[in-house]
Amino acid sequence: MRGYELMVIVSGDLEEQAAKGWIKTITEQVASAGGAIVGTPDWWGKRRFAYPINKKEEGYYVVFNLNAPGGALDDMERAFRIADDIVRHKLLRLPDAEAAKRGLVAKV
Amino acid sequence: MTSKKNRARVAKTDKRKIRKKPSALTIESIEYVDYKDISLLQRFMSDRSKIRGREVNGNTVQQQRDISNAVKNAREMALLPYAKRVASVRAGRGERRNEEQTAENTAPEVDAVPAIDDLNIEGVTVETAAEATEA
Repeated sequence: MRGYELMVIVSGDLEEQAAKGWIKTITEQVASAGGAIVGTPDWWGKRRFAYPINKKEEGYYVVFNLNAPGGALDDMERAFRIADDIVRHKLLRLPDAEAAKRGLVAKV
Repeated sequence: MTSKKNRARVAKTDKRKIRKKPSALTIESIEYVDYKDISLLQRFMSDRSKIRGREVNGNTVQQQRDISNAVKNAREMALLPYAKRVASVRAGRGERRNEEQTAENTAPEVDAVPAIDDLNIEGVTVETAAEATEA
């Protein structure tokens, strides 16, 4: 298991409730990949982009801290790229020290 | 010769050490540079949203790399702009600069010509001296 940080930008064209629905689907996808989300996802709400993306000016930002086996989230990332509602996403493998600080597994 | 050179080097490094201001990362003892911390990253960037040089920021090589990677991540997620236009300020400055440049270019050319002559004269004398030793 490894500690990851996942940030997802959901399209700002959606209603807030519909956008928040993505939290649930992402949690399920992580679980089905054999991982687990640690703590409550950080919902930043609607935020203006620094520059327009796909002619959109704003989007909903969510940040997850999660544990998952290496490579297990590849399918989820592919799904993000295909999904129209997800503008961008970023999955970072956290360094062990930082992962431990956030209460994720450092290394097993 | 070598001793003189060494003295010069020591003097230079001393001056640099005095000038050096440690990076905000070392002062605040930040171990992990988070790309989400925009206010921190912006302190290492110019008003046009460019990453400032390592010497300007006072970063070590490792710190500068951490900052640059974080800035690039933040830019991908549209947290930071790739470039910011400071159009009004730029136009004003640009005009002024051009005026200054034209003024400087026309006027000091007269002064610059004799300076080049001086250099040439020095170069000539050195060359002749070298030739003399060869002969």
